[in-house]
Amino acid sequence: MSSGLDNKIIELVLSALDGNMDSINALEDRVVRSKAKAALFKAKKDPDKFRAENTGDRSGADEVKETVTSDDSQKLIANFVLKGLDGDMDSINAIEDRVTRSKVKAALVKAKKSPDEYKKIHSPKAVSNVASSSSEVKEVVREESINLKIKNLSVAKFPGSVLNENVDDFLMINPSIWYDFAIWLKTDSNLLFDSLQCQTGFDIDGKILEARYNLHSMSKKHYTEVRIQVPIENPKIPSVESVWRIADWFERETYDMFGIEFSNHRDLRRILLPEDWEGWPLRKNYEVQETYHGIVIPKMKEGWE
Amino acid sequence: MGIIRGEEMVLNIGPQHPATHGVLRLQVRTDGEIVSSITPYIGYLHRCFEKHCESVTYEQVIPFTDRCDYLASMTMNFGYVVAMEEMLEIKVNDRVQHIRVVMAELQRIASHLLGLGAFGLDIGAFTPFLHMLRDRERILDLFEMTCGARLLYNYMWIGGLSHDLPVGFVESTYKFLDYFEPKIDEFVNLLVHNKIFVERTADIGVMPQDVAISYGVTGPNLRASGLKWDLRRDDPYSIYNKFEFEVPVGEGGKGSVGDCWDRFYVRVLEMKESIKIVRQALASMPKDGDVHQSLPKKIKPPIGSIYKRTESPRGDLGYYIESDGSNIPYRLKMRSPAFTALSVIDEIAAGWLLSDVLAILGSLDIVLGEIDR
Amino acid sequence: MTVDFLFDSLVSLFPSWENTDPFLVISMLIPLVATFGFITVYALVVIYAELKVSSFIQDKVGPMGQGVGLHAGKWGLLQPIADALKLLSKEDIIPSSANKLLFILAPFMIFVGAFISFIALPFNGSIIVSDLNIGIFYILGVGSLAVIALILAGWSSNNKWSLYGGMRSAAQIISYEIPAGLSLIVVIMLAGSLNMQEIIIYQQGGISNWIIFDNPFMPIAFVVYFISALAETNRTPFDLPESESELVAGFVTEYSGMRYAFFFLSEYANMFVVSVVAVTGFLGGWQSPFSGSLDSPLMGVFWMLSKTAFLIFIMIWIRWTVPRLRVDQLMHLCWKVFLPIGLFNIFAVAIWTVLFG
Repeated sequence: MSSGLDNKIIELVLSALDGNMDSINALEDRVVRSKAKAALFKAKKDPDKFRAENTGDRSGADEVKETVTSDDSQKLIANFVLKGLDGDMDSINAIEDRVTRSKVKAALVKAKKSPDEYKKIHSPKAVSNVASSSSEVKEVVREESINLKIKNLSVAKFPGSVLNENVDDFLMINPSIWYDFAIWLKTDSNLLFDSLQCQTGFDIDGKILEARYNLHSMSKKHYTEVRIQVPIENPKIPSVESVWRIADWFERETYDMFGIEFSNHRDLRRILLPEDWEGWPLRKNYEVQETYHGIVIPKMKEGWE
Repeated sequence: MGIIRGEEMVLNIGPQHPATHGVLRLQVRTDGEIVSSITPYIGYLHRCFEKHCESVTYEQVIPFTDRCDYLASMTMNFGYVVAMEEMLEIKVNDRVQHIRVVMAELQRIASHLLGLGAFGLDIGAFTPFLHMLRDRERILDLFEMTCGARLLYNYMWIGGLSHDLPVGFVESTYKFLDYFEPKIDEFVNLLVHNKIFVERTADIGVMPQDVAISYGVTGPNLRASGLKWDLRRDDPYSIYNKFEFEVPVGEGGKGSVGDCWDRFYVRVLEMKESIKIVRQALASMPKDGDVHQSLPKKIKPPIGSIYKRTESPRGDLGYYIESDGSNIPYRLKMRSPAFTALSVIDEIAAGWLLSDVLAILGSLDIVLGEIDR
Repeated sequence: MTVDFLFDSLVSLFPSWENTDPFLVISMLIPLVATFGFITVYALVVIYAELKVSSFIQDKVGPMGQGVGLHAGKWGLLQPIADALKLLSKEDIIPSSANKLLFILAPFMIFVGAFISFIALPFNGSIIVSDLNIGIFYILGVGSLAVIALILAGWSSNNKWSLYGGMRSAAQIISYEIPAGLSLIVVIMLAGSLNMQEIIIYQQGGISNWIIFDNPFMPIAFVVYFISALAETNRTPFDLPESESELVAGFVTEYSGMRYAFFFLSEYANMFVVSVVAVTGFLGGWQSPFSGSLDSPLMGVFWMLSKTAFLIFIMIWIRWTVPRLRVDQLMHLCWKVFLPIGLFNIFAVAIWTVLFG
């Protein structure tokens, strides 16, 4: 934006950003005036950036420079993440460079899952002790995430249960041992996931049905997501409604909408739709039935509806 | 469960009944006056919200979220908008954040007023209901001044708000808060410590903490059972970590911890805390800032999913949004707090008298629009 | 104007007629028609009063006559007439599986129960339809007809909700007659007679002679009687049988139009009867509170009606202020609280009277 514009226009826009519109309105030349107003409109979207780019001094944003070396960048990211963990989001949001800012935010999300460990590793005196190569720092951050912890702990008890390699966002669990795995998640003293927050069904491209469980621990305040995939021809997942009692209704809703059958559920029937409805509505290939008890279900809205 | 004893009577409360908070059917098996089991039947208000969201764009989902919990529309919007902004990594300016908090807390007060009034009506106290509606009208006037609607606002947009605050809003809100604070004490004197009311609600429908957690009950119902869990404090979103407020917890003031009276009283105390938050937010609101500043031109979130929870007046409202890179959601699920609150009724209401069942149902403060979506 | 007075005056007016039976019939009909007319007018007034008083308590305006056309009369005075006309014009629905005879019989029975208590109510020294020697006892007795009527209404509707309402109501009314009766025993002990007029004449001489101020246990008896009377008439806080939010509408669920109106007419009539008995027994009846002055027969009617109106106002006030009691709490209150107090009162008043005269 700074190339191709006269310095005069830049000056006018800068003074207008400070609130002084008179100088722009006083311009006689219509073309220049309209150019200035257009530039002002663009500048208003991100005034600080405009100012920084066009005044040549970076006051107020001096904490973040372009990442020069990978070492410095890792340290800077760690600094910001530590600040974010303490609740200070302003300095993160003031980072100008979008790439760095998003890196910091991604690291913050990961760090929030186990803040104490992150702090231990990345507090200023610890950073100097850790090896300065960035890849090792990344591994340390990932090692402490709760998902990885679960994966490592489950290797002994339930070998082969965690089916995905990259456990950053979720854990993909083998359906056959899901019931025992769920009991272990709830009762193990390191994990204590005593609250099932949300349970949904997903239809992946019409071939695979998936059930996702968002689990949370009230006492330890960590949180994880578990996904279980079954083929659409034979969708059967063991029910966990005796582990978390709310799964009773959540699973009924998933059954109602997707047709996933939960074995050993005490009373699996439709919950939101009438008992004799046909079809699984939230599947991608669902077609509404023609009539229901003799009432025609219209596919298109009539004129007056 | 399969044998029907000779003296048992099967009774249907609803779907048309003056006391159920919406269209709900409770099938009750009673032995004389004592209830032996309750089976809720829901789905009378199912409007295919989740399927609709798979064919409209992300901005167009916002009016649909209003209609789920129609008594607390601002917080429904708030939850969705916060989830989307986290997915898109948009940062909104301070003025928008403050206005959002003010609106959400005023909505919390309005929703609690209606819930408490309806609870009193079920117990038989006709007058406090009308007093609370009178006060709620003043909040709805404030909302109407801002965005033109009294019940379904479509106010919070992804990246900002639909309208800025009008001239005179801040003064009117201060006037309302000054008028309303003594009314809470008046209400407490009229109903909360009334001997008959206490007898009807104390020690009734006790919900122990582990039952509440296992059933996923959150919000004031969980706080009344003694656990101090408030998403505004424990998992803060927006700028709630800047405000000072207490989290009221049930202490068994007139009976056991977690009975109907506790659930009632926690909501009364929460209204007071909301007043505090609104005052702080109004005092620290920046005077300038454009509410349309960060509205994105195109909303195309990256491929992935997000699950974000916010605190609605009924509990933890969760949105699970999965995007496949286009401008239409691939799947959107709303985890409604009243759904979990209703599922616990068989556990806590079996064994009480028929009048108690209605008292317990009233104390859970459910809204059928949210349960059925 | 008692029946006897009318009969005697008719006989003396037409001394030539031998057969005095028509005179008997006429002299019985006139007071009945007058009573019926009085009940109707009273019902209109009390419905309007309830609407207005409840509106003031609930911070509303209630029926108002402002606006184009004065559609509800000035200050909404035509509202009760509009309500009555509406109820008269409604469709009369009888559920097909209901027991028709009992269904139709129930509202009549309950109205009869309220109506025949009116014949023993004194409005004045001389205006009383029939000056029975067992006045108070008679009123207590016929008040129980309501129980049968309510059970019939609940049962014949063939509806579980009505059955619940009918059962609860029967239990409630039967239980609360006992404390009411015990409180009135104290009054009868002091006045020495069951006759309504004699009880009132016992209290002559101004406000300090009223039975309620006779000894410190009488206010307790008054309160017990008043609350038991509230329970007898199915008013809040004891309106469980007809509670709107719990049992749809209790035992009146299946009734519509004029039959529904009869139930509520009889409820208001019962309120009147019970208030008059309270005024007679405790507050001096038609006597003026200032001894000697303002004591003409016309003022007697005025005093009687104004004291009754005051008690009815308190009943309406309580209805809109207080939540309702649950069934077992209601029973607990009657049998475990009021019954001992009533019995204790009898002994206490007897001992006091013996000691202090």
